[in-house]
Amino acid sequence: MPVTRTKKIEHSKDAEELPSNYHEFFEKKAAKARVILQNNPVPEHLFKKK
Amino acid sequence: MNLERYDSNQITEYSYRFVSIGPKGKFKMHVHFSYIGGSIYNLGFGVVDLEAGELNDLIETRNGDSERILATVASIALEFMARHPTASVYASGSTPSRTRLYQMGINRILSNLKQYEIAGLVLERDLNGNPPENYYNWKGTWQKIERGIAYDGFLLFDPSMTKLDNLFNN
Repeated sequence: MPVTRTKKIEHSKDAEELPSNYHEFFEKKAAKARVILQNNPVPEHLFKKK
Repeated sequence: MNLERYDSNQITEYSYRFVSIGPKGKFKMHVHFSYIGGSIYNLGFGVVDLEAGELNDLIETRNGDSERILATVASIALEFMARHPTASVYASGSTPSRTRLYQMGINRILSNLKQYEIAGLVLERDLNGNPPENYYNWKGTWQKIERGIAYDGFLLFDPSMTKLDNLFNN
């Protein structure tokens, strides 16, 4: 009699626990920030060491 | 930081989670750092809408713990900076009132930020005091953050680690 082997699929814990719109939600925010920073670059002098 | 805050769990290298607990119940909150260019990451924050099972940035939990939430998010940002020393973190609220809340939180921790500096973005506004509706048209200036000035966005960075050729400047 053939032995049927079953493999338990392990779902990613992260995928289970993340809200369904997680990636879309944060990518939308990042896209907005990207546009704002591209149009309003931070002047270099602000980054100079004290 | 000695401010009261929630314990947070790091889910991935770029994402953290914590739970707000108060009279209105428990709310799962997520913080995610999205790479946006140069050395800059966007700090995104969202609350899980229990009914929809989705993140929402307009929910008002009214759990009476906004200071604790802000302190937790600030603590997560500093932990992320410690793990990514050359990174700069950009943050802005989803609404002007949320951005003001962020600023209040920043003011509370400003004196503790020995290693870091914060720049603030001030947008040009129309006669009614509003920036253009479409953020593609936002124009503003960056300055070192000062108390008493309302900012529209913030950039947290470590001046000793920031590489000038690695900025998001063109």
